[in-house]
Amino acid sequence: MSAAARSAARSAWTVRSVPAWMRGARAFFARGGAIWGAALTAAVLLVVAIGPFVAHYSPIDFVGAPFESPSLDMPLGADIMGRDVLSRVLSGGTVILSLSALATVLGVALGGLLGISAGYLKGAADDLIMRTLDVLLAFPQTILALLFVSVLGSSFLLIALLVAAIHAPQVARVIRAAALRVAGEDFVEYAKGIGIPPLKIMVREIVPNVIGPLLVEGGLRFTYSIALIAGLSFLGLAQDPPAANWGLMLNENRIGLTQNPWAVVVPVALIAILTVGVNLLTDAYGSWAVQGNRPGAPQPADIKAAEILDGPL
Amino acid sequence: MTAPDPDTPGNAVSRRSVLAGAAGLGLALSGLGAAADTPAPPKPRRGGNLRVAVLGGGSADTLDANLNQTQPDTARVHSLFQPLRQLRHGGKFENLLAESMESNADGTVWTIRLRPGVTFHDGKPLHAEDVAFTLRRVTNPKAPLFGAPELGPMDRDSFKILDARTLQVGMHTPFAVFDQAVADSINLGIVPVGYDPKRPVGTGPFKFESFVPGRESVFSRYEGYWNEPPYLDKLTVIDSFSSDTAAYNALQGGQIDVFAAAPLTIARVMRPGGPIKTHVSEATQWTPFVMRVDRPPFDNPDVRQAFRLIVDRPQIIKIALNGFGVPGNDVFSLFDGAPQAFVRHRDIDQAKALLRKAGHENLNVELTTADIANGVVQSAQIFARQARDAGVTVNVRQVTPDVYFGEQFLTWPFAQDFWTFNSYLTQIALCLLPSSPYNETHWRDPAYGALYRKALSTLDATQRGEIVRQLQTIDFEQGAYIIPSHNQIVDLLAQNVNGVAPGTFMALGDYEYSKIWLA
Amino acid sequence: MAILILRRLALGFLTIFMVSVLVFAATEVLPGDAARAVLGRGANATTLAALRRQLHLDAPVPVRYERWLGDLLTGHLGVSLVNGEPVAALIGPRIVNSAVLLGLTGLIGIPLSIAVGILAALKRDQRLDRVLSIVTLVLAGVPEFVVGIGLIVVFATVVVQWLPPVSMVAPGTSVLSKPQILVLPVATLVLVIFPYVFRMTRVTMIDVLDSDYMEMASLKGLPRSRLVLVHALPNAVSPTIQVVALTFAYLAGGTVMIEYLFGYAGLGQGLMDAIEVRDIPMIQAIVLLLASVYVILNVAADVASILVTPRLRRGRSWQAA
Repeated sequence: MSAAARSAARSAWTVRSVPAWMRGARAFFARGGAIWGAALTAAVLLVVAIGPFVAHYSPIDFVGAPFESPSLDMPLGADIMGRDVLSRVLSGGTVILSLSALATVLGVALGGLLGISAGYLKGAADDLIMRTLDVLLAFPQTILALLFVSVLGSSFLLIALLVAAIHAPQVARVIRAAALRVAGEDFVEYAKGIGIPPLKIMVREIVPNVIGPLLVEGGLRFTYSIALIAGLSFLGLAQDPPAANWGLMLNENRIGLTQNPWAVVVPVALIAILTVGVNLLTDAYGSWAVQGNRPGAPQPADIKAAEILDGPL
Repeated sequence: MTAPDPDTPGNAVSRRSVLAGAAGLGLALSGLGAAADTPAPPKPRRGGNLRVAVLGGGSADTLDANLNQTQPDTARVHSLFQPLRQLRHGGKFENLLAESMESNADGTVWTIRLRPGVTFHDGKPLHAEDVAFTLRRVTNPKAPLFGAPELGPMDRDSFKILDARTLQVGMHTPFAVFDQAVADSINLGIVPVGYDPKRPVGTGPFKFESFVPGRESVFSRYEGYWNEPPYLDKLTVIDSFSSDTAAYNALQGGQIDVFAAAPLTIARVMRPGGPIKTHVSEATQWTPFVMRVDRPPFDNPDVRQAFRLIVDRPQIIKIALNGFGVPGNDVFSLFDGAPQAFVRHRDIDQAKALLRKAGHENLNVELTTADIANGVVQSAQIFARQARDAGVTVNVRQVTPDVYFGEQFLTWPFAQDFWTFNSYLTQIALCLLPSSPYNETHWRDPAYGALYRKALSTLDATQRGEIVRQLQTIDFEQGAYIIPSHNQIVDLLAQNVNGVAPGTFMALGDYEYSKIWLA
Repeated sequence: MAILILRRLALGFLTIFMVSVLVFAATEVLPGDAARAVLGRGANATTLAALRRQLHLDAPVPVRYERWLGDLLTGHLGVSLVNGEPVAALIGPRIVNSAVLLGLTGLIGIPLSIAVGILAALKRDQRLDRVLSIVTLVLAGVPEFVVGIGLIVVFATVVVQWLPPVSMVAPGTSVLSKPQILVLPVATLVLVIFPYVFRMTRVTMIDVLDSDYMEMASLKGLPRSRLVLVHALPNAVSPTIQVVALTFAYLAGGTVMIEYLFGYAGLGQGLMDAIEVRDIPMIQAIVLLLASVYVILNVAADVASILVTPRLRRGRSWQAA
């Protein structure tokens, strides 16, 4: 008997009724992937949250010879400029995570707005919006990002906007589909009929009904943001040195791998753990959503193409 | 063990590894004191194109022998031009284009005798007129070039051509070290009469082929060179790389043969016997902290001394220079006078006491820094940390090199700078006289100036050395420079690049291209 | 069905056209002063005027676009702002190098992933399948440069030093002359595409194995090997064509990161170099090329799926073997 069946059977026999969300959560975490995903992600988030406060040195202070080997004072040795690797590692995730969060929020907001508008307005406006967004989708993510960075330069805000723009088309597509479904409902027709302005309808009626898919897309997009932004950091485009950034640390310390590998190995391990963790969570959500037919459940036909198209980078 | 024939291509790989192994073995054995039977050094091979990458170029690149500003410029002019004399290992001066330089009894007239058989790239023989032309060109009062302050008392209207190879130069005031002042290969290369910087002609071992500013310049062997002609057929100086990593990658990938003046942070990642080797110069560059003495708080010599006592010099060398340097003692001379007599160690208690005496406990100052040379920005941060131990707060403000050398250059109250090696008295002319073009410390001491002039007019080397020592004592006890180190320059070479001269002051063996050969 | 395909092709052309508009707009129209951005510190009145003339920045935008597009279509990809050489000549060798890299990746990675995917489907839910699931989950999560660096750390620098950590060759030398430089980049890309191709194959294979058609065939009493080889495989493989196209499409973008990491002289590294010095003609050419390849491969994938689906449906009720 599968785990889900067992828990369903068990809950059928309990006297007191378990709230729905708890049942859902239990089903979600019954998948091994989810537990691992949560654990790994939480571990990295902990490092990012607490790290800057427990670091021995400032991440930009020069404290040792370049690529100095680990010592009691600097447990992970020094990086290419003689800065403490451990201190840099402890603050190196902040930019990646905050940029990813900001980019995701902006991307979901932008995409959601465009999707709702397209779904509600239909017709020519719909076509215009979606065709324009399709052009963005025609680019591989990295190439699009590089194109804009080469032209606009790179600052925290610019990168956030750029990544948001990269996510917007896909979010818009999903939300548009949801909005279309809702827009067809009777209560929306009724609202239109009695002359409520479109904007109000969109906000009052449509938005609350697409929140579910929005949140799910947000989670998915966050996953991809992290990989994309870590990649852009690696390429040296996400921000200016000397601030610590795991992706950037990989790039600038590669040259000294034979002297002090920790300056590369630890940041790369953290990026790996974070991305694997977040991916496990979204994967687990995906299969859980399919099971319970919840929002954001990938349709079987799309699942294959979507996985490949939307994969990291 | 005889060295295998280096001209057989098939032997190249095995020979290289044999050499690497043999050299290593030889060193190890000699280290143990055993009688080492090291193989004879391989015979230099004629031919090849040496591709040298130097950072710092741009559209302002120039081939002007007397007006070069950047590292790439310097790398270029050394292939084309030569000065009358040159400074060598250990601070010794040698004649180059000059056969002899003699002064009269009181140092007011110098007679320069030129070496015979020297020709310019266009075949024209070197004539005394060319030297006069060059020296006049450099000291043109309407447009003085970089070497002008070094020539100080030279009277540009007093040239007398005695014959094709002899000229007499008069001095406004006695100039005992004129023969040292002309030994500047960076700024005082000799050019012919009617010199056109766009089609440069010099006496150097290579002649000009092509030049694209900000990209590359090509030079080819000058067969009529007065000395032994160079082994290389061609020399290419490439300054189009925009970053250290790009140049390093190009070296790894075989697109260039030399990365001259490479960043010190990566100078130790090379594997011994790997495809890249390092070449280290003498420790002669200096990157001082500069204090302006005409404004508080540095107008007080006690504060200046306190700051000098704050510095932990070995720590700066280890971190900022990756160990490539020797401790400096706030005296920029290396070979003149008695530099070894001056030693300064860190003394926080003394520093605090001096600051208290000056009424400047808990001093707060701003330090302006820029990425103008290896380790400069790092040493600023490190100094700020070290200063905390003495209760001094240093706020490091980093600007771009453009801004640093822009309008406010030489006006920063507390900043850093970088200097290549100059002989002591020449250096004073450049930065410690009221008339100096680079008087960044705003040093104006009449007693110091008087001593300097006295040194200039003292022809006896020993007596002059005594005066120099007095000047150095002033530098040491009251000066406005903090010189934590004397820095080495590191070049990264492909394994097959040989013949780079050791023990020199600039990159790439003082850019002595004629001795370099490619295996 | 033919109509569908034609429509898809037309959409593809339109998309490439729109891509070119976007590339042009981004590089020539957007940033404040393209000439100043390119010249940087070397900008003064004369050089700016000269460069503006050279880049035709004085003409109105649509005219400039027309001129640019016309040039492109006749093979004039412009002149590199870095060394004045024609972009086409500079790109040629890079295209070859990237093609070698991606070709080898496909040649090795796709058959490997498909084989393992089929194996996993046949041994569904057994130990091997479970292990592969975990491996795939991890591989799918990590960004590709992480995989690359992991391989470098293990095989080229820290753990052992069997392979070179950078994949550079002297200019003018073919990448095939030093095959060891290809090992790590190809291995990285193979590991990167493995999860997707593996999963797709496994899912498709399982679908086929579970289908009525297969049930019928097995009820007929055919031996298992014949079942798998003759009946299952052909139907599982056809959707894989779509996967292959999509994989290569993904690689068109993914190659940038890997080429940069290994210093491999392909289009991706060319793009990064061009961006560093703002060599606009190079940026335009490479972005346009990679994006067009991406679009074309996506169209191919869609066309493949259109072609494949009806046959699959037919296959289910197939009577004869």
